[in-house]
Order: sequence, then C-alpha cells, then structure tokens
Amino acid sequence: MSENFLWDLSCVTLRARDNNFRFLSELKISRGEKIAIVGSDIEYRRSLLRLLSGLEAPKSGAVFVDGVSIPGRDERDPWRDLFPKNFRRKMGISLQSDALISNVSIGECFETLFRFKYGDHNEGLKQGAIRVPREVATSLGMNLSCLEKRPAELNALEKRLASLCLAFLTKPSILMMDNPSYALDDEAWSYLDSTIAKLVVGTQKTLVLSTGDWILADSLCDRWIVLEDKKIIFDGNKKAFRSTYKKRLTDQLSTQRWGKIRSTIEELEIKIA
Amino acid sequence: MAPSFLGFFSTYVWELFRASKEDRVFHRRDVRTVILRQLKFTGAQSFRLVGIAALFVGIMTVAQSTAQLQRFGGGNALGPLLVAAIIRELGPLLTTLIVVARSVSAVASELSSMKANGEIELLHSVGVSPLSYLVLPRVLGGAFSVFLLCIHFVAVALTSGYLFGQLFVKMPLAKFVLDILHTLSPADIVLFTFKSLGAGVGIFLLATFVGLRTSGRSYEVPQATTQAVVYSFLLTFTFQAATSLFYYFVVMNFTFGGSL
Repeated sequence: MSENFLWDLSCVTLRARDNNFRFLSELKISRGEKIAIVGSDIEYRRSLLRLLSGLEAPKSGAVFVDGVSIPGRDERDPWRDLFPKNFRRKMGISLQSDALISNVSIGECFETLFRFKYGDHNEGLKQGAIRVPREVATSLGMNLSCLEKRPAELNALEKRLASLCLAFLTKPSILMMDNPSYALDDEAWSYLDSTIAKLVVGTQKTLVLSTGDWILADSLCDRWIVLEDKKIIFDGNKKAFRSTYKKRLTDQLSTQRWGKIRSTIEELEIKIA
Repeated sequence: MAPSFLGFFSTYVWELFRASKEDRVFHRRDVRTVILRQLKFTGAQSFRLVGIAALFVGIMTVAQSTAQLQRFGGGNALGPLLVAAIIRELGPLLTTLIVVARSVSAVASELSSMKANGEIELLHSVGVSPLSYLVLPRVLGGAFSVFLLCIHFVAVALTSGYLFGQLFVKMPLAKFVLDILHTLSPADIVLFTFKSLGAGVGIFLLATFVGLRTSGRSYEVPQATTQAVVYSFLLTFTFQAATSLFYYFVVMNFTFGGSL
C-alpha cells in the first residue's frame, strides 16, 4: 500500500445488486487521474463506482483510501460513513438517480447541504451557503430560477445539472460520476459534455466516470478500465484503448449523436490514422 | 427475528447518539428548522384531533365513574379518580396512539420513500449523516409534540369531564380543582412526563428505524409504514403498562387491598 495512491484496492470481492459477486485483483488510482469505467457489465461498473465513492463496502479484501484502510461495514451498522471525514470533504459525487431532497427547493437543498458540510458558525460561511450554490449553478449554465423549484418540477437536463451542481458545490478535487449522459437527447448531451469538460479537463481534479457512453468518456478521460463478464479485461491509457477498441469506438461514434460528434469523429480519425 | 431486530435497533440508537455528538446538531440552524417543522406537523396539526378525542374521553370517564361512585357512595372521589384515570393512564396512552396513527406512519413512509428515491444515499455521498439531519430532529420534534399534546389532552378531558359531571353531581369548580391538585403528587407529574416523552421518543425512533431499514425498493414503502405502526402500537401498550406497574408497585409501594 502506498500513500501516493488515492485508492489502492487488492483482492476485493464486491456484491453487486444482481446478487452476484465480482472479484477485483488489483486497482490503483493516483491523484489527478481521469478514469473511465466502461464495459457491458453494468452492475460491476456501478458497484465499483459505489465502492470507490464509499457508498458500498467490500465483502472482503483490502481497500485503502488516501493511505487509510477502510474496514468492511458491519452488517448491523449501515449508517456510518465508511470514508474518513477529510477525504469525504474532497469528494463530489453525481449519481445516476439524480436524487435531490424532494421536500425542499433545489436552492434550499444546496444551502442545507453546504451548511451541513462546512457549518454556519461565522458570517462568511452563512453568506457562502447562499452565494456559492448560485455561483456553481451559473458556471454550469443552470437557470437560476431552477433554484426556486422542487426536484419534481425540473426536466431531465435540469435535474442532471442540479445533480452536477451538487457534485461541484464544495469545489471537490475528486469527482465521481455515474452515467452523467444517461437518457439525454443530443442537444442536452452536447451541452453536458462541453460543460463537464470545461470544469474537469486540464485541471488537477481526479475524475472517476462510470458510463456506457464511450464518446463522453473519450473526451474527458485519459485512463480506461473495461469490465466484461465479471472481470476487468482492459486497463490502460487512452492511446492503448483507442488502438484496442478502435472499431467499437468508431461504431459508437458513427451511430450516436450526429449533431455534435461529427467534428469529434474527424478529429479521432485523424488521431487513429 | 427478535434478537436481530433488537441488535440492529440498539446499534441504531447508539449511532444516533454518536452522529449527533459528532455533528454538533444543536448548533445547526437546519436541524432546528426540521425540529420546528416536525413540531408543526405532529403537534400543531394534531391539536384539534387530540382535543376532540379528549372531549369525549373526559365525558365518558365521568359518565362511567359517576355512576359507579354514586352506587358506592363515593361521589366526592371524582377528582382523584380523574387524576388516576386521565393524567396517569388515558392521557399519555390515547395521545400516543393518535400520534402513532397520524405521524408515525407518515414519518416511516417519508423515510422509506426517501431511501427508495436515493435521497439517503445522496446525503451519505455529500458526507451528511441521515441520522443527524433526518432522524434526530424528527425524534426530538415528535417526542416534544407528544408531550405537549398529552398536556392538551388532559386539560380538555378534565374540563369536559367537570362540565359533564355537573349534570350528575353539583360540585363547585374550586373544589374540583383543589381535589385534583391535592391528589396530584410530584410523582404523578414525573410519571406523566416520563410516559409521554418516553413513548414519544420510542415511537419516533421505531418509525425512523423501520423507514431507513428498508432496502430501497418502492414496494417496501407501504410495508415499512404498516410495520412501523404495528410496532409502535405494541411499544406504546407495553411501555405504558410497564411504566404504570413500576409506578404502582415500586414507587407507590402498592399492595392489593391497599389504596392508590
């Protein structure tokens, strides 16, 4: 185990939602890496992201987070956070469910979670709880009137943006995203892609993206992990991935999202050639 | 099933204490807001319902007891009897049952729905303990509401009992009040407070526990609601009976054939 790695997993067994176990022999993730977890084993993808987010405990094996060993969760105690508080503060997580607290407005939800994370014991924090959510929402191109609405009153893109806002709310250095482009139309996809890229690419942020959208992953990530048939079948950089999965990547490119992607195809074709 | 349920439940209560201390919940404005919301929902909005129930309970108690007391020549014992029946027993018991039917079911279904919608996971993901933000305010707000509603119940039941009793036995208001005050001992007040607050804490702990214990599937919401209500009813009856027995046999040193 080395403290240079943000995550260091070895011999980990996971129990996915399909009640089958997945085994992971080794996975190390360093600071600043941008990783795409892709592949047809959706349950494995999701479980791995949840494990890396501290939302799920391993059934067995060693998990170190920022040099700290994470114990398996006691079955009786599902209420305790698995991760150390200072590590959790660095994280921003956007889940596929786009869950937001349903009985308050989006703005109130943001303010509450901000205050809970940082406290409101001085004037600066009190003002910050009001100011920061508005700033983040503006930077993500979210209409500020959405902050007055409840989650049920938002459309799919607004919900996705609100969920992303939540992930970026506390200026995290580690970002975890579960299928952020899920069920979006081309226009919304294009907008989301450029928005996330603007906030992530070229920064020191660590990104872990679990997705079935290879195009999005290609524009954001520089390391790829492919999960098929309950195992990792590929773990390498972007170049190695492109040469290994050239056909599949171009297939997806040619079938999806014509509007925005045409230029990306040309760019990719030039690079692959 | 029972030992595992109790094991989970005791861990839950312990974790609630730990999380509340760690998050310094009483210094947080958002927690205070949720407590006030719970007081409004459980306390203020049940005020009329509890009042109506107390009105009829007061009348029924007086109607029954006056008839019996007159038969045995104990017409003056109405005050002590009302203290024993309403303040010690019926007030906390019936108020808690009304709250179980109205608020415990709502809390359990709310939390299990939140779990099904991924809102509990959202809180975990941003490092907010659901125990500090959701559970503790509901337990405190709910328990304090039960206590206040019990006082309201007793006040309305005694008033309606006195007014209805005037039809059978003419008794000056001052005498009625003095009778009650003489009968009411500090131990009665402690018993009343303990019964109402204890039952309040117990039923809301159970409701939140059952709500959060679901595995997050939407079909479990009605199951959790029913379970919370059934468990809370059982807890209420057991707790009230055990507290009364403890009070009569240990605190008051009551023996059969003696007097209360």
